[in-house]
Amino acid sequence: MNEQNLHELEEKSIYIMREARSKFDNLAALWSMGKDSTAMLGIARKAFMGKIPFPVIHIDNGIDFPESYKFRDELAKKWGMKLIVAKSEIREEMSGFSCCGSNKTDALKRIMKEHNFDGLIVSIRRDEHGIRAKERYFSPRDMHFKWDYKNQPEELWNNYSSKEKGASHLRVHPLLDWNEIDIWNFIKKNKIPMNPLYFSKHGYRYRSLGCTHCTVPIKSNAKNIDEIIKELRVTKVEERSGREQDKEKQYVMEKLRSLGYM
Amino acid sequence: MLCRDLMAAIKPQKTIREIEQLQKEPTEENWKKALKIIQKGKYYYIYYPSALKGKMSLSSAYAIIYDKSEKPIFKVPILKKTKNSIEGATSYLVGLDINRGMIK
Repeated sequence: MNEQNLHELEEKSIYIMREARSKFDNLAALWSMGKDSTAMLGIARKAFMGKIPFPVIHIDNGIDFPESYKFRDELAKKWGMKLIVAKSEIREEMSGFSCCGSNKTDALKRIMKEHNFDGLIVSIRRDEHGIRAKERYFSPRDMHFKWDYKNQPEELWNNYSSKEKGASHLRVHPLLDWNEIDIWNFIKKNKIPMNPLYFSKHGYRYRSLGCTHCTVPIKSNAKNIDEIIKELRVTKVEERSGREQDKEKQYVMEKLRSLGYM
Repeated sequence: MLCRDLMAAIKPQKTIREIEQLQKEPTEENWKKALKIIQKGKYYYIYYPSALKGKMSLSSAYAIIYDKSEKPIFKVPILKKTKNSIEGATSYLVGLDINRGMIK
């Protein structure tokens, strides 16, 4: 895995965050308690003098890992976050597609409307999935939260638009250029607290975190960040191979994202 | 995940009234009553039997609670029933660690 210049990545992400803060009237950030979104909040603290100056939204389907809930509440308190928990609908029998897709998107739509957010920071990276590679740093969503990936705004010379005709809000992606190992290098350098599920016990750890239904662990003996970084330097396995919704065909993921799913 | 037959073979070591009530009727009130008992456990592991192909059955899903020696103590649902709907309830297991010894 290619390790990039961390200082340059941080500088760009901080710039994007500050641009978003200045351009949007009502900005918020999504947090899943995973390493990427937690690192994103760490970058926000660097950008804004140790504070997170916007609300942080957790879309909760109620079946997350208990460790994730504990980590959420502890870190939200420690970092003084204004945490908004948006519950997504759950049914006794449902497909993973509807749980991860429409239900979470519906919860997000509800909370965006309720609070009138016009900008939303999301911690996706281009290297995670082919669909995400098509994203822009500031990416508009229409009134139905749909993403027109074939018709995206130009982003020339670090100029980003916060207003797009017909957009209900814009997604801000400060981590687009980062890869997995960069995230861990940042976490290590800045001593960012991490969800304990990432670290190995009994020969297993979680490399990518979703809810208890759609996440499976990987075989690994990496018990701390140094060991994780060492492991990532030689791995040939995709990061999200343990996520059920990513096992869908590529076009299904494209459809999910175009409908507003993260 | 282990198959349903194997899960049925894991018998709880003792039956506790609050846990029995929770298994019968996973309301918020019963979850709160059972919380103290659940927190005496050390580990959990959640099982999702499939109802139909491609679908998950949350009403059939459950968590086995284990003691510090990783012995199963009892099982609990992972849902909470409200008046008009159901909600996920894994947050009631906060404080327990996932039993990675059960991963195959």
